[in-house]
Amino acid sequence: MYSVKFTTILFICLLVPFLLRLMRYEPYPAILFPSGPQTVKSIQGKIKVEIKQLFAQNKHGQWRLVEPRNFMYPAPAPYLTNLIYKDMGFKKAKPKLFNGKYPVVNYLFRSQNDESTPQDLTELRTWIQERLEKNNYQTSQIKVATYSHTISTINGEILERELKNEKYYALD
Amino acid sequence: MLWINNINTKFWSAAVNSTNANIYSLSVFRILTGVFLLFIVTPNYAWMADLPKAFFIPPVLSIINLFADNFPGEVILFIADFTLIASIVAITLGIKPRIAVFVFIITKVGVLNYQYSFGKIDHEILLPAMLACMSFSGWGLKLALWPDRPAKFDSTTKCLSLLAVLICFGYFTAGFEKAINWINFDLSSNGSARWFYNSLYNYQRQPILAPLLKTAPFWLFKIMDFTGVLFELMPFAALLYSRKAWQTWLLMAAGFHLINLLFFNINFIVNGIVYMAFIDYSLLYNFIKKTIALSWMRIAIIIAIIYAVGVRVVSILTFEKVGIVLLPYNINIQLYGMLCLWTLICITILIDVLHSKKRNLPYEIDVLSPQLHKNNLIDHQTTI
Repeated sequence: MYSVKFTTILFICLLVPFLLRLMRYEPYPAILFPSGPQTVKSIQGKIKVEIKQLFAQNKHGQWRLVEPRNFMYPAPAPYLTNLIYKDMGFKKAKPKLFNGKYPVVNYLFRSQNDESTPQDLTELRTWIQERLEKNNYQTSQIKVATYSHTISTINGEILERELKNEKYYALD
Repeated sequence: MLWINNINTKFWSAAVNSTNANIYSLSVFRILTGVFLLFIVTPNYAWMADLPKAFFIPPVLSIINLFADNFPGEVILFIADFTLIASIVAITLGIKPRIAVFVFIITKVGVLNYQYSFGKIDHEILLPAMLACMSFSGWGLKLALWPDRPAKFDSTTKCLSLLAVLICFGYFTAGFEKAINWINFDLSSNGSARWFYNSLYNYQRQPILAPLLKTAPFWLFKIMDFTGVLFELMPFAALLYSRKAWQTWLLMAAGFHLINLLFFNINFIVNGIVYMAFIDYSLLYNFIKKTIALSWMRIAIIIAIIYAVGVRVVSILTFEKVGIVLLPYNINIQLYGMLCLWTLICITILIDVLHSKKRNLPYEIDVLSPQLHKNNLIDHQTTI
């Protein structure tokens, strides 16, 4: 039988990561399951869902939705959505926590907050261009478009697709 | 402090009584786990070597973030992929299973940490957690080519009760935030609907039964909100109530994953094998022992393992995905394969629920007598 000491340590080991996740700092590894507590609101039989999508130009210069599976291969296709939400890797420097006073905090947040170096950006552009080329797109630029979809709660179909904004990324 | 001690004893006694199994059952489960990892769960990780450094954004509080600044090179990832396969084969055949499990866990958690640096933590922690618990169960003592040495800390009752508590806590972490946001009587606000439409239109998953849910009344999603939260918050109660209640909850969990796959195309197949740890396989032990003693069966097993390893090695070297070995890698075929698997898991747990009996006497002794436990007599005295 487990002792009180073991149970207490186990309780702390389980609870601390959970509390950290509630504060938006999910640790890994930790015994945590996906939560996803967000909700949608139905107004007059319609809901709104915001969606970001990646577009590239075909050989005729027309913008086309990028097919995730072929573009991401051999990486898992669902990760494209994560990339899109992370500015396709073109990250910008963020202000440092506690004004950069604590070296440990700066070190832990280095990947999140620091801007990419020119060398990293060249590597990133080449990676994207290679994938665009393989999928017969032009390699000069891509765009991420944010749409607000109005969906009917009666038949689940998209009733309206409103463009909220577009972000262009030059690759040359 | 006595009352704390009493609560602790009552808590673990209840957990042990709901989860107990013997070493013979767990030895069968070890083989099942190995086969599952070899044939069903077949991811590779060498593809990460190709990723640009700009994508490397590890979770702030993760091991990799302490010392790495980029994805590992191809050689390291190839070594990791081959190590995973070698350790799975060792777990299946019972070649020093404890060491094999440790190697698997360290490698798997490491490569997953790198994968999660891609921007999202996928919550597949139950598999390493289950293996870690099982490595102290004594599951490598029977039906093994090169068995583990019996260790004083081996205990089937301890490992299974701990695993059950980890599962319960995991579900609690999933249900807690949902309960705060989803449990209300505002019929126009809904969480399940967000999961469904986000899955359908943002992640472009195509669930098999999506057309049904698209045309379903909106209040049905509210019912799903309530039942989902209730299901995720109740495992501790089921575990502490009785063995039957715990097994019934496991059946509900498998059914929950089946429904998730049908309506949301979200597949957590790794959890399937974890739920199956609580099934009693003791009746299969003698049958398996006799079967694997047959020379033609040994040859068949070796051929099957060589085939699976061959397929996995080719997949690592060519970056081609495998999915379920023995099935062609076609999205629909793999999806239906997973559906069949979840159905099979549900049926297996259901059979166990229907045939489960109250068997708590030896484990109550385990609870009451530290000395017996200390001598590790309980786990090994159970007969079949």
